[in-house]
Amino acid sequence: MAKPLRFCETIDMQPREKTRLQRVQTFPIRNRYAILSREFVKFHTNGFSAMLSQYFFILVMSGLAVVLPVSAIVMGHFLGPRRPDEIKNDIYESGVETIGETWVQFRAQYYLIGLVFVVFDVEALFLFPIAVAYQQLEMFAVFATIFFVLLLVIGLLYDWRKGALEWQ
Amino acid sequence: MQITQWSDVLSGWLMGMGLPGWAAIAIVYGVGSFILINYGMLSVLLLIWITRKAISRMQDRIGPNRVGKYGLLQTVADAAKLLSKEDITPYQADKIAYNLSPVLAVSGVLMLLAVVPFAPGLSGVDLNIAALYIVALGSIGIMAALMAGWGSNNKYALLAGFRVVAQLLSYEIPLVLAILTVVLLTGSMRFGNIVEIQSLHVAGFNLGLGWLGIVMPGALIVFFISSLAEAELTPFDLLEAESELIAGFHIEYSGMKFAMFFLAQFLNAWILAAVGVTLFLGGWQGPGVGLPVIGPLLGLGYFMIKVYGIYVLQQWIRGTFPRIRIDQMMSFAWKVLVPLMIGLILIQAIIQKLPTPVAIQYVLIFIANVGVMAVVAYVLQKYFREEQIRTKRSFEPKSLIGAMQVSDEGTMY
Repeated sequence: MAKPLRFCETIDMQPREKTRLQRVQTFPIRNRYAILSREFVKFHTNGFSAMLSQYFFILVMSGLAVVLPVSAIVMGHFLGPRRPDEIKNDIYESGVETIGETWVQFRAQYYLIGLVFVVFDVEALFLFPIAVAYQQLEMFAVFATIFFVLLLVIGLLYDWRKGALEWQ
Repeated sequence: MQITQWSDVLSGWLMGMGLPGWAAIAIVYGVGSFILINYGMLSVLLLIWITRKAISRMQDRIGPNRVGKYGLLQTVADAAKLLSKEDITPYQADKIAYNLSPVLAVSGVLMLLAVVPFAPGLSGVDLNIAALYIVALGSIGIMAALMAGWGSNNKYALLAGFRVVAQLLSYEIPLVLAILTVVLLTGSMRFGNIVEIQSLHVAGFNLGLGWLGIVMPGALIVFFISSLAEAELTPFDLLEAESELIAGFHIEYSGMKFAMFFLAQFLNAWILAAVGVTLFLGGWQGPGVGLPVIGPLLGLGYFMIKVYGIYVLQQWIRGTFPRIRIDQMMSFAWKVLVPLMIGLILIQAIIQKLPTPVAIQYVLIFIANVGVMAVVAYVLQKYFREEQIRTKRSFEPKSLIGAMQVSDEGTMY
């Protein structure tokens, strides 16, 4: 078991840690006098990369981003009064009583827009890596990309001609 | 750099206390994201105050001025009031979708805060795919709106939910393509890099005015228009058109759940402004950000000034523009913005492979962007002219129009 270190133990105070510091040059520590512990250095040399730690932050943040709104809603639920009645819990549709089922079939127009969206969103997804590596691309890859985009332009023109973009 | 060191110091100390590595890192990241999320939720109080003040000035009113200095505490009082309201769930609502959607709506927006670069080195995480992250999380809000519309068992809410899907999906494409033009030029999706590139060094001094919006104003305009639509602001706010759909998809919500939708909407507008500033207006870049000590503070100041400036501009448009019809909105997205942006990306891709110096490439990209702006301006001008003629006609009495047309044919119209 690792023994706890003192708070102010620095790299320079401990000569035998210096060799470990050489191995963690990739980790962005600007200040050599940063307050580091033996465990900290070992943790970062044992494959906990900077990229993984970024996504770990996203994971922690996504957890908190759900927990905090939920706690606010639960707090509001218990702080507020609870006096349900027939009229209050009814659906508000401009004061008129609801007629018929709400969950009915919807117009196909929305689904058409959804399909066209999926095509273009996937296109953008493919274009992002190409855009990042664009400076290093060869001419063949550039022409392939342009051909790929042109294919989608033809698709858009087809949708336009067939009237999928018209809102009736 | 400050934040990296800060988090390293704290996690190093915690590990030294004997905690396992992952737990120490989790605690440090928890503290960091807690600060970010609370900043996001509290800044909404200020954003709502700015909105109410700005719009009431435009409408020749004073706006909130009773609670606190300049009415600054009005939104705090409103939030406290919403906290003490009854939490009503309508009969026959789909319980899971109804209760999950406010949480999803706000958490999807709050998570966007993770990649916003506030100052040099001050951001939650400088993700290497930040641009893609923004695009990916933008879709969660759409799902939340659809779930709210579906779960409420209300016809107005369902109609609004479907409209949200149609609108947000349509305007996401030009938004993504506008982000793509920046990625194509800078060759990086990391917001830190994108902001660094926008510096302008003159004789070793960082003026910080090499903003990409100067090189590509067309993409900036398209980004701004689509961010208005994504934030559900006025020319495109027909999913909560009060006169048609009462309040939109969150009509059946009350108390804190309603507050969550409100929070998500205002914070989304702010974050889209922040992303626009990061991509096109230099982020935290400005004169003197390279200076050793006050540089980061200046950077934070520049960033906040720019973002709140764009936010006020959004509210200005919200206060002055009329709402457009859904068919006009959809055709503007699919028949004007999307083809324009695809054309711009193709032209830019060709320009960037030309065997010319970078300066000439920038000039050519600028010319292409001016072309995009000209087309957008032409379409909008044509639309407004037609709209003017149509409204003028509709105000004249019908019988008189008929009489005039009979009496002198062709001369009148």
